[in-house]
Amino acid sequence: MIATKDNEILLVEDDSNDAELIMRAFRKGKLATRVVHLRDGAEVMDYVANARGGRGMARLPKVIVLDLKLPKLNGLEVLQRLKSDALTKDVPVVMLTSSQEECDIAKAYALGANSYITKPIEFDAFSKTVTDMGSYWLRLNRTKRKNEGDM
Amino acid sequence: MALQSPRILILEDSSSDYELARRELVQGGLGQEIEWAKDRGSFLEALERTEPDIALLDHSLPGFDGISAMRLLRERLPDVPAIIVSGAIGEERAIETMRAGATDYVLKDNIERLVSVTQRALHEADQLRARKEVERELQESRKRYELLFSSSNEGISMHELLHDDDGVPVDYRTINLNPAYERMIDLPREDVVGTTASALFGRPLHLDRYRYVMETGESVSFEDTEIRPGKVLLISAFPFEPMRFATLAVDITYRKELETQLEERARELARSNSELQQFAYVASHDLQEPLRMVIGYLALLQKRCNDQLDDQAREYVRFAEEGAARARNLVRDLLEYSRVGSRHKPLAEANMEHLCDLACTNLREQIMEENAVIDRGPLPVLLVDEVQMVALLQNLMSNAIKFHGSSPPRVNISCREGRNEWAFCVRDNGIGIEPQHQERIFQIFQRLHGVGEYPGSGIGLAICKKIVERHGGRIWVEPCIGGGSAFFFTLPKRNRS
Amino acid sequence: MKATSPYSPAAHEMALLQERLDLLRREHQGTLRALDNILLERRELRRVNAAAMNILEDLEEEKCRSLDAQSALLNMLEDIEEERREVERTRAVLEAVNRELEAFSYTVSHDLRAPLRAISGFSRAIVEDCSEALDGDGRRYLELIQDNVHRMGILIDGLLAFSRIGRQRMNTSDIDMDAMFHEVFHEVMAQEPERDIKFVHAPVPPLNGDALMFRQVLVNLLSNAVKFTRGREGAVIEVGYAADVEGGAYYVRDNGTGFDMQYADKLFGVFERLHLAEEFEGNGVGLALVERIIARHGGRVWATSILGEGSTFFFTTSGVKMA
Repeated sequence: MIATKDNEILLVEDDSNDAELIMRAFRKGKLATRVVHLRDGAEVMDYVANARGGRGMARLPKVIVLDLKLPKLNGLEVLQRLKSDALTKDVPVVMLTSSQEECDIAKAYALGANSYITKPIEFDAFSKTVTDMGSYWLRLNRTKRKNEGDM
Repeated sequence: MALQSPRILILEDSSSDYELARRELVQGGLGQEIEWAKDRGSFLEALERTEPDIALLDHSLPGFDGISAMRLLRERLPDVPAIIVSGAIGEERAIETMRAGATDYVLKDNIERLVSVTQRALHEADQLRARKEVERELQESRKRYELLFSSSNEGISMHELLHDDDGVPVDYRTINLNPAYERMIDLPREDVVGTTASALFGRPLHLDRYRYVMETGESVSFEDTEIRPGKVLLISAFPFEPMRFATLAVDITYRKELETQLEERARELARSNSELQQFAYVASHDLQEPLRMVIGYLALLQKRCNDQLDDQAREYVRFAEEGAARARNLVRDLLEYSRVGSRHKPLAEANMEHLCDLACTNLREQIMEENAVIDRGPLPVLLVDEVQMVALLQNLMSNAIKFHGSSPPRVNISCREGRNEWAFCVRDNGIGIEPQHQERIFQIFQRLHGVGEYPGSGIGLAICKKIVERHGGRIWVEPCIGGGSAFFFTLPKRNRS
Repeated sequence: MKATSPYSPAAHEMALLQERLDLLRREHQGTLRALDNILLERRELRRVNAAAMNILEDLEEEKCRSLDAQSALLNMLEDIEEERREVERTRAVLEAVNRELEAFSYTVSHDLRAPLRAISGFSRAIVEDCSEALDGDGRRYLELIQDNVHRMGILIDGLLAFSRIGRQRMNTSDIDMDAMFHEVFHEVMAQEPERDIKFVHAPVPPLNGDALMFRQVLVNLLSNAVKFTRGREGAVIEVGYAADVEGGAYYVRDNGTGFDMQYADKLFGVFERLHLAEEFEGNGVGLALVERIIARHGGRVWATSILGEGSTFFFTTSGVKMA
């Protein structure tokens, strides 16, 4: 598990139990220095907008873990906005879904989601998947940034 | 009609001959309108002036003759009959006259024949006119028929019944068919016309039905799948001429497919419906036990092992217990939902006021907690399922109390009598429901607010809808003017028989 | 008249006159005959006309009949229209029910899973964090809690899968059943590597149907066969096609424990519980799923068994392609 100083994961999940368990998984996997937990879709856009000020890209999260069902602005809408905003479109987004209902997953991919995790009932597998997912995207992002930095 | 008082034009130069003729006609009752022309000039003039119904023409006059007169007549009035009246005439001339188109002839020696000949000629002329009229109509009808026949989408065919030596019908032969029928049976015309059914299909298809049609004169309709495998045709057969019947065929292959699909759908529908019930029932029934175990063990954990756990673990136990409680409520609601459809209790007379009070009693904790005030107007006695009615009222009232705004909830239950039904209203002063959600809320599991804001599984209103519909009524919500919602439901009036 | 000699001038004139009259009369007769002939022709024409009138009447009738036929057709067309509307209405109702089911399943999977996940997740967390502090009882409670959640999870997943099968659109194609039996058997065996089962595979015809659904059928039937033969020495699973059974049926036969034929009709009921199901870890939905899929393909599934000797599961389908 690679953790760097400025690894930030943005978790958007309104169910407090799920959020607690997911953050526990991140902690145990020592994935990131910072986990930001937001509870609704509208808050995401605000947070990201503020992150743009002054310091530029540095404050964007490295991975966004986004639940499909959210109050105020639902997950797919947030995904769409993130992927159509020049600043945020390159931030990998992992969707959290509670069911395998295909239409949701297909829609998410169509809007540009990078991956998805189904929230199963039993947690150990979930925990492992979450940490694997998270570290994969973190590493990927870091490599890309490094390559871009070389240019 | 012309026969009654026909206009008769007589071309005759001899006045005595004219007199003779006229007398005959008058005696015969045909003397009302007789016109006398003595020569060519007056003949022409008379033709212009009047339109005679018949012309009696002298065979020969000075400077003129019957045949020429006839020609002139024919030019102007081709349908008017001409009778040649002559004295002795040469045989050749007489024949020539007749051939030239004279309707008949009368010899002056036999002038008595004039009346009957005239009448017959007039009659024939009438018939001729009638026939021409009918012919014209027939032409048009023929054209329409041709059009119908050739351009119709329905297959039309005519057949002749064939008998054996004992006079028993054994086969039939096609004598005509239209393009649509050609398409339906997928055979070219030449191969079909004049061919027997046995030759076309191997055996005389539907012979028994066609026999019935010919014997009784009644038309029959039936579905056929043998004329063209793969197609379903709806055939109507009716008698057409002696020994001949006609059939109209409509291609209903598509309709049949629709019917099969319809049946299939209906079966799926029935299955889906019962599946929903079963699903809810099993999900809830079979989930109850494990849930009970979980709740039990969590409680045990807390009681026996509390000191073994650290603060965070204790918090986790609390989270788990809350989850279990939520699951249990959901499962219980699911069970109730499934029961609404499946239980078939007979309806009994119940006083809605008592049921309402009962529901209030069930809710007394919630009422006390929220400082709610419930009042109700007079309610009728109806044929209902008591248990479901209490559940209905309880659900509605609970919602009314639950979704309150800043002021303590006030709930009012009232009722209005309509012609065929009773309309109940449960009104509250709570937060109300936005118009776009007013239908959705009756769908199962449609929660408008987050889990934390207002508790509830979102089944309640779906259950209410099911109960109301099982009783034959409708349920809907309207906003209240001062804020809050008014839930209406109707219950039909039933005869006490 | 005075008596005259035949040769007197008056007699001669008389004779001439007589001759003339005769001639005239003869001419007259001839003319009359000619005229009569013409009249006869005319009368003939009239008769023909009358016959024509009859034909006209018939044609009139024909016209009326074709008008009748036209209105009969219009009625038929109206009926077809009405039927089409009826189909639409039923389709609409069906769609509404299906939507309800979808909402139901979707929400069940979300609303039920969430609290269960919380229970499972947090009990896990407690075990992880407090394992040394917890005593035997505490650990046991937490294990039981997780077992129960596991049970509920399987049930819910099974029910959801069953519901989905009923609602899904079928994607039909030609399926190589030989290949599919083979693949699925190996998949199932991969889950139980320590088992030694003999697989006897007779050739089966291909069929036209939804490949994913049939795969599920084979997975369920073969998994069942594998389960039923647990504990049997020399376990054998046979698959094939019996052309003489009900017009042709695929079969999966095992020599396992079998079941009591008394319960044969309950086997495929959605929510019937046989002791077998629980004993063999199933959620009871597997066979119901098979029945559903086969039914959607216009077929039938049934089973026969001899307790202690084995079972055979048969299924037919309307899409069998005979070579």
